[in-house]
Amino acid sequence: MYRYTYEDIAERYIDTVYRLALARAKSPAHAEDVTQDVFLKLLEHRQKFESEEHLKAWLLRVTINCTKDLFKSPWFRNTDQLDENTPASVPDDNGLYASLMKLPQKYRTVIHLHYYEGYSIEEIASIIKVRVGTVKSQLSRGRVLLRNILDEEVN
Amino acid sequence: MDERDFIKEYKEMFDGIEARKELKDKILRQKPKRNKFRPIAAAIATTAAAVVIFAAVHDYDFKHDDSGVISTVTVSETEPPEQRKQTEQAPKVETETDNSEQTAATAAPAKKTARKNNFSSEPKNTAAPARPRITPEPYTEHRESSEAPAAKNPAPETPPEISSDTVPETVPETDHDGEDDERAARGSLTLPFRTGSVTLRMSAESVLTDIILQSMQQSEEPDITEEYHTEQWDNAKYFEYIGNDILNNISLGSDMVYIGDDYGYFTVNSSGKLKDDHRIFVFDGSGSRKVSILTSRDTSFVDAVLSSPEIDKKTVKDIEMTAFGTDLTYFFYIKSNDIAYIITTEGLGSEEIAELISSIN
Repeated sequence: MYRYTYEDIAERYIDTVYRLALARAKSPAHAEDVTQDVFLKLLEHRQKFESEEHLKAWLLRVTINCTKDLFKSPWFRNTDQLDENTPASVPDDNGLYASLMKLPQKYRTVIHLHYYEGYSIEEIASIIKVRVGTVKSQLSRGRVLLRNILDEEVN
Repeated sequence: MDERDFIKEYKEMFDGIEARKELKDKILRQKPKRNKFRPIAAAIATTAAAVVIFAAVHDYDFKHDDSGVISTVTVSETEPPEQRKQTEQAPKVETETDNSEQTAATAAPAKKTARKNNFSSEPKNTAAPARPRITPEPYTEHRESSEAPAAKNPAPETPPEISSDTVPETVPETDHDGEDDERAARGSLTLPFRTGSVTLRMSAESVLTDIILQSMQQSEEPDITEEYHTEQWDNAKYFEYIGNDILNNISLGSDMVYIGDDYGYFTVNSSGKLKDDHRIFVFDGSGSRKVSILTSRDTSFVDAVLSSPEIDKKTVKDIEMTAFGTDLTYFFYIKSNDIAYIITTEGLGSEEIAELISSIN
């Protein structure tokens, strides 16, 4: 079993969780709420993990679920959730971030897990609990859609 | 933008994104909710679970009065856990809820011969760490009542009012002699210690509930003359405090894995006295096997249980103990070397339990 301390894991993975939360939630405020929730769940439930990779995958999965819960909240539905303003901390000279935020959430998720976190399609399928074929098509469509959006931006 | 450029730009973009320092500090500081009634609440919860399980197993009728009498009908517990089929296990109440997959225990099943496991995450250090010792003053100073609550004797039943029209010569007592053997039998547990077998008759849950309720009714006056602060103690420091390296000393099956914390948070005053010094060490094994060990230098609660005339107490090698439970889940209230232990076992056999209890001393 992989042994860890909460502080060690929190310091190592706060940014990882925050980035995925931001990719999904689009709003920095919501992303911060989700990030805090994820680590509170880690603290309170004290999961057993076989390795650090297993722990990281768990964190990402919980982040995905927490952002799903966020969207289910009636409060969230009633607010203007389409926060298209780029967070101040994001350098977005080429408009990539703004274009990314125009994609549907499921495409943003697989794109982030594949291109940023470096997970394979099979690993992504395991994390988000969908079939491998689904991940492949979401990745492919996401890339096409993003390319179209970026081309529109350029034009 | 080709694939390579996209990946490069995407990574650069998100590499520049970090959580705010304030958020990081907040997350690093956050703690699970703890309160002073945690051990009592845990005891109540486990007792309630045991009552439900026990009732389900023995078809207990709650409507009938529980006089707290220990049954003289005993059923020895000798069957090793490996021979027990999964289907015979009592329903277990799930307490963990999360929205992600849980890691299944992959450790090998317990061997028949229990052996000592080194559960510590760091290399074993036989020498105690040289740390300044916390003032070893009697813990009971923190309690409003330094005396253990007196064991409660069951109040005699109030006889029904007798009108002058019906004048029996004597008020008939509620007679339970005729109740079913199933309801009366709570079973016993025979533990094969190295010094000889000891049979513990399972004590009535009502005894524990009464003591728990009494403890909760005791109010603790705020200590207005002291200033407290929070300290994080790692396991080594805590084990030095209680004088027992739990993780290194206890004997458990090879499948049991320590899944508890490596540290605890304590409220400490300026003199170094702890306000609440309990810790709970949790172990998970294959199947539904679990062990939790609560430790504290405050023995008042365990003293109250052990001093109750309604419980069946035994002493083995300076270890005083009593037990509640069913044939699969047991709660042991133990006092050894002035340390209180509340041990919960699920799915362990009598030999393993005997080994575990022996290894505490």
